[in-house]
Amino acid sequence: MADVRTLATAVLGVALGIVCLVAPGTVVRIQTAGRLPQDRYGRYGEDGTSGGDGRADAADGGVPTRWIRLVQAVGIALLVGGAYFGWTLL
Amino acid sequence: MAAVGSILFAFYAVAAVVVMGVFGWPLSLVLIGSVAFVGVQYKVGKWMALRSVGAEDLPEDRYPEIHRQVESLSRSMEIEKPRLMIAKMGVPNAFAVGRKGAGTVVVSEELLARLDSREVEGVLAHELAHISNRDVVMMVLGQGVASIVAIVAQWAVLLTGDNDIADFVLAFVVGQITQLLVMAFVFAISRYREYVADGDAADAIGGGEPLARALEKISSANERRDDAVDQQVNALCIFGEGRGLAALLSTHPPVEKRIRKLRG
Repeated sequence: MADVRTLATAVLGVALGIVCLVAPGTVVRIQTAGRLPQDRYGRYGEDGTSGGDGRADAADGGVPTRWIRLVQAVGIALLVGGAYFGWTLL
Repeated sequence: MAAVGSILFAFYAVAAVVVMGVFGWPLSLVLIGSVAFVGVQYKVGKWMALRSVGAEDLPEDRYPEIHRQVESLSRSMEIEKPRLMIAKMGVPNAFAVGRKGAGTVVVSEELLARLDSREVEGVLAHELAHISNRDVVMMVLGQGVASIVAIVAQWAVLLTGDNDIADFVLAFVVGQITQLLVMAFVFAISRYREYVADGDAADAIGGGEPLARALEKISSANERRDDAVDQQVNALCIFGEGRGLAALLSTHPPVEKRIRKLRG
């Protein structure tokens, strides 16, 4: 049973890690929707996309760069963690 | 949309039953806790949103036409005139926070500089429609449900495991994935509500053309993007703009579709 949970940790951890690395803006949107207005970052009428010429950085759809970096750091941690738990099963 | 709403309610119901079963909480306590959780999110979210953009009251002596437009639109939509604020956001933007009777509409200086009076009226009508239709509250409620379900999923993992390091990581991952899944349904409702707000705005100002023009002007004037990130993202297809997961997890429908509908 413990093996199944460890396997789930490895697989889901790597999967979430990839999502955090590839689509950090989407992860931020999921966390902030309903807490901050969805229009807060980016141009009017769009989903956090922006020309990036203002306070909203252009690193990923107008979401501040430090948020993007934080999500990507979590993504790397999840990838490393997932790989480690996968390795323990070998 | 009724089906999507029912699925969201089902998620919440399952989470509530789990809490009642595992912790022995009575239904009344679960409901009170949920309302308190969402209420705090609503209050904190509104305060944070206004503070994060540095919004200030829109002076009536400098912007009399905007105040007049909002007064007239509020009357026709049968809502109280919301508080009007202005902020420097770096991009043309506008958003509404709060509820019917205690709403606030924030517009960016860049939006006012780029759009003509009729187009600004279209944008204001769209934001007022969000307040009138309680879309802001719906979004807070949706995020509240997603958060509650995610927390319950995390606890379910923790309480059924050996509490080793793998369990803690698994609980975190399951919580995040659960929230992502529930939010996909919330975002589906949000995209639908955007079309409804567009329609209501068109009704209020006597046609969809001003809002369509505003959307067109804003999107075409800002085509430049962060190419490095966009190309990297688009190469993966499922995350590409307007496709797959990205489309599924968007709060707004594609601008082109909105413009087509407004003109159709």
